[in-house]
Amino acid sequence: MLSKLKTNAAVEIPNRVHDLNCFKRFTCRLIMLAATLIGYSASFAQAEDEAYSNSQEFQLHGFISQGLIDVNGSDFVNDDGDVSAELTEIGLNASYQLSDKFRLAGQVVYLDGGNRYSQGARIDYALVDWSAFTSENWQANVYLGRFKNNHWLYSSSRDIPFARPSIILPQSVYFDGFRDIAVGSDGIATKISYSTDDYGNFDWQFSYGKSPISDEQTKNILSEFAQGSAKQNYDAQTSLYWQPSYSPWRFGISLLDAGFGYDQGDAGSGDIFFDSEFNFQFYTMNALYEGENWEFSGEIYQQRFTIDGFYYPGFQLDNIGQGFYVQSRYKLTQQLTLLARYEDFYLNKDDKDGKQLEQATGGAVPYYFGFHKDITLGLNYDITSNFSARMEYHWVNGAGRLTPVVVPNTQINDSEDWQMWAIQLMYWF
Amino acid sequence: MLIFCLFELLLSSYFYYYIDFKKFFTFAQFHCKGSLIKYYSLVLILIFAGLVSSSAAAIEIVTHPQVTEISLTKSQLRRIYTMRQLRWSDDSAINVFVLPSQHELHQRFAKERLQIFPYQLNRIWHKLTYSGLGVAPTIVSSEKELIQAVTKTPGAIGYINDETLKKIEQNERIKRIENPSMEASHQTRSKGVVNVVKIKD
Repeated sequence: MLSKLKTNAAVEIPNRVHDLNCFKRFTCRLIMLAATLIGYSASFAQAEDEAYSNSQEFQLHGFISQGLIDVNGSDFVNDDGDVSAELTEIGLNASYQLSDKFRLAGQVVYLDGGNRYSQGARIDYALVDWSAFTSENWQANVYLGRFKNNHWLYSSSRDIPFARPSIILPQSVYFDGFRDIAVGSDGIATKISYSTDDYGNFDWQFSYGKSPISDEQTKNILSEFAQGSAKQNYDAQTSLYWQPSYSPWRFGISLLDAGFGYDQGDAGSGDIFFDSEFNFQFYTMNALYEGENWEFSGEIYQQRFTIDGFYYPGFQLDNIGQGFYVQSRYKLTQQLTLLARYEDFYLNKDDKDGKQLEQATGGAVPYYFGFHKDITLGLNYDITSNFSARMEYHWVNGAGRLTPVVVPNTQINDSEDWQMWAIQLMYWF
Repeated sequence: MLIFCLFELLLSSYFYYYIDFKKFFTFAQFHCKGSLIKYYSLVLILIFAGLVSSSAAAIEIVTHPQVTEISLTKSQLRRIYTMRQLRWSDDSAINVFVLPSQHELHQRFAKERLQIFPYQLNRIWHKLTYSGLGVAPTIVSSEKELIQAVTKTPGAIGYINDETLKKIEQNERIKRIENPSMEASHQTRSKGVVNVVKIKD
């Protein structure tokens, strides 16, 4: 049931009318947001007496955010290039302490990001948390069910508007086209934390599971002509984070290994693709500096993607892609934070300018689909302790992080350079 | 080198509203190679920091009356507020309470007592709350609410301005005098409305 809810059941609203309608929807959502705000503050006044019972035993939290986004020169959000209100993120979560050792936690999110991922509600996580061991310095937890990917710098907060650094994250790592697969898995995860005065904090995590892949996603990633079904066979990840004692620095590494399969559609479906195996490996290293006013972070990574089959039985592909991003934030005042980021990624380290890609496809896939570079400037204003506004501008060079991935849309994405701006209001409790 | 350390300290403490320990620790470790010098400079820094912070209104760490701990180390307090230590020494669960992140007292508590910037705490807590990994502290809107929450919740820990605490304790005494029937129930709480926990370096 979970697997259905994750992607397939994402509530589709067909025949979406764009142009001016998006402003109508924007105002609608603003009203919704305002209603939630008022409703919440009203319930606050009422619940003042029981406020303390909402302690760590049972907690209810959520967030709602709405924005406007305008992309020029690519199909990142929509095909027509108009200003869009398809920038909605709503979430509600609960945590309940069953007993001394066991806790239940779950979150439902509704996302609308246009072409970025499938629109609709999904179960973000739903898990049993077993606190296997705890002492003054040690904590060991085992999570069963659907858990979130906690291995990368922003993987667990990618859908949480106010917890991530920008409206649109570096697409080379946090590729929205892979969001539903990369954001978490159904399976088992474990976290061991060790905290000492001498050596600082250590967090080691391991997870094993798989994610369901909807038909829509199969088409998004492979090709709109894929009639068969894709599935994830396994997803194994591990990561280690270390923060020296009382240090503003933190360092992390992570490893991922995932296997996918594609089953050709029925004879009658006219599927032009064949049974195949895909393998994806991803290694990252990251560093984070958190000072009083300055903040620096960066991730460097290498990925290996192999295909066996798909185009024709026996077809082989083995690509190593590489990339990094560096990011800085500066707190101008207690409320206002500035952001600057540079991201550089290429799908094949032996073909950084994409020329081989263009040649190999006989010109069908232009060279600029072989890389993705993004310069981002943004600012964030904290209006209250749980209400923020954010805006940013991206200058992007390359189409390497647009969907569909394997057979790209070269008609809309006909330019090497494209830009986007976005603004977003966020409220959380 | 030691004099240099102290000079830096004096300069900085003049310019900074609060003492940023992190900077001094790194500074001291970086510049004072000799372990003895390092030790003494750190001790001096701590003494000096104590003098400076006591000049502003002090922040008291308070717990529920049944919590047995009478003192905590700085590191323990930090572990408790970053949700890395979840239980008291008697194995009972710790219930952490905080004020909203932009509250002036919260800002001071984070910087002075935990030596963490408030935005760092928010990140740690947001990650726990919105990714299902764990549970974050409960946020209450005012100092009055915070002290009530700590009084009523077993295993609770919170912080309060010592002036506010004095006022509350005075009111409590007046109430007891005015209403002697309440005396019996309050006598069991020999330590007062809440425990005030000492924080050791």
